[in-house]
Amino acid sequence: MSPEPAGSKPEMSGMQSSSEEQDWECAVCCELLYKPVVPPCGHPFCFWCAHRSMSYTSVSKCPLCRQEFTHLPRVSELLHNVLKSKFPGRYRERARETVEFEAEQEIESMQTDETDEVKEDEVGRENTFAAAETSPAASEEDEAFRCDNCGGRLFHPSVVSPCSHCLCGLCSGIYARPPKDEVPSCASPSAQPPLKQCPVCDCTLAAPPKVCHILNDYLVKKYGRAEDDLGLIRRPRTRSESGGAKPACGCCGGGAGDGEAEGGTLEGEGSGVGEARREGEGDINGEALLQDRIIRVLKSPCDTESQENFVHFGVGCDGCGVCPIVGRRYTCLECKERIGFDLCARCNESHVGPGRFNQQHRPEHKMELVEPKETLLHALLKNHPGYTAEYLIELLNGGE
Amino acid sequence: MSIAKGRITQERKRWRKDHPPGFFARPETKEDGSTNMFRWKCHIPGRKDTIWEGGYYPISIDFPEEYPQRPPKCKFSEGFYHPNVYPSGTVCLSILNEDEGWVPSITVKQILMGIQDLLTDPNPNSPAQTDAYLDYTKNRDKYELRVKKQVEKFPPKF
Repeated sequence: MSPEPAGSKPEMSGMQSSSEEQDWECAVCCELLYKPVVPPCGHPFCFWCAHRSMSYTSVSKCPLCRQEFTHLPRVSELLHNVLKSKFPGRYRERARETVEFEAEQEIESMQTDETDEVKEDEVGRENTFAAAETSPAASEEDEAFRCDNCGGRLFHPSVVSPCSHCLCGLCSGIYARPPKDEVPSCASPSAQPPLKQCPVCDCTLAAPPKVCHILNDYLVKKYGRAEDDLGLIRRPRTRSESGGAKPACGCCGGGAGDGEAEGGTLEGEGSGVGEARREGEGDINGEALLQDRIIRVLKSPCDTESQENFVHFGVGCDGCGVCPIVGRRYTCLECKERIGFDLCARCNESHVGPGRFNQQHRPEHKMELVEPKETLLHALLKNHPGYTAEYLIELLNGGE
Repeated sequence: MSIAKGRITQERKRWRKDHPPGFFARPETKEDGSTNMFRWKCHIPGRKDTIWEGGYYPISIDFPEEYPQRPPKCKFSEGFYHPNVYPSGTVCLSILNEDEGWVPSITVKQILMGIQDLLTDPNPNSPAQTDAYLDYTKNRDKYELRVKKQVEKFPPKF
């Protein structure tokens, strides 16, 4: 490690860690979020913090609210850009730290559009004081807060996992326009089935996204509550199977449900521990959801007979980020990265572009189906159905 | 740097910047003079105007490899007299339990202040040792006497 060049800005960035910066801290490393990813529960973490917190053998849980999730989400470009423009100096520093860490580990994190620029630009030229509100960049920043789907002003935002598109409250189906604009025949607001596909990229959602409070709080502080301005109303949800973001008709099958309690995710102001706990519940959507199926397989007794239910312990998908891969697994024969490149059955059909860890995978690379091979862990799980994979691993490692 | 080490470094930085008066917390210095970031030596002062006042209780914090995914372990000296402290000295507190109240955003400062609270307000619903628990619930006078005796065992260091 080389000493900091004289006149560079460590003292200044020290001063900068204001209460505002604390609002944007990762709960795992307690530093400014870097390359934020947002699991369906809406709590953001640094890419590496989320990755390290995930289970390789079983269902992962949000470190804050313990809501279960199965996919390592993509880095949220929107949050990444907000952080970059709000805390330029500190964010650059975090980038440098992360690049160092990655070099040490010989592994890379998912690349965002701008990361390369950070890599090359080793010495920060800019003044570290982020003048978010007053600088000319402010209007540009406003431009950034648009819904990825409708392009409208972003409010009540949720970050979709795993593709990390950012949706406004209307597109995610949490809010509805007032009745008069609605489907005429039905009593509105009509019941809304949980979102199952990302309306932007059509990818299958792991689980319906919840509001990202860190971003919501920021937007509310900056612009006030758009849902009030627009006179929008909150829409009840049902367990209805009918998919899509279109409002389902209350009379014709959609709205039979008891109206999902929403798990208290909507009102939140601030994101204290207590609130995070309260949010943890409220996940009662039908099993049609991708994540629920994976969770069911991961929790049920080990099945090594069927290829569809085979769990590839320790291997995640580089397309959708599911970890571990459940079902068919394909591996790339040509990617040279040490970490390898693997896809789940679903992504093998559709995934293009680099992997979660920036593997330079190309569509013309040859993929091979990996034959399910029973491991010691599979055998142990089969013989001791009452134990979790994690517990058995701990036993193997000589824990109590 | 591992996530655990990075986070502990961050905790250290924060603690130096701001910590409650009377408290002390520092990573352990090993015999060869190097620092062990994964074990901290701390002192918690007994709260003013309580029977614990005047004591300056040494406690160690052991951070696991999986910190902050898993909580650190806090340990008084063996045989520490308190209803919620195991005979080994390990503190029984909900926020330090992975299956109960632990979340990674809890800081060292919150832990130590939480334990200070626990000293004066024991939780009779989760006893960890018989002696102090029985005294606390059945014979409060004896309990207070023994706490005051313990205060003398842990005088301020300066």
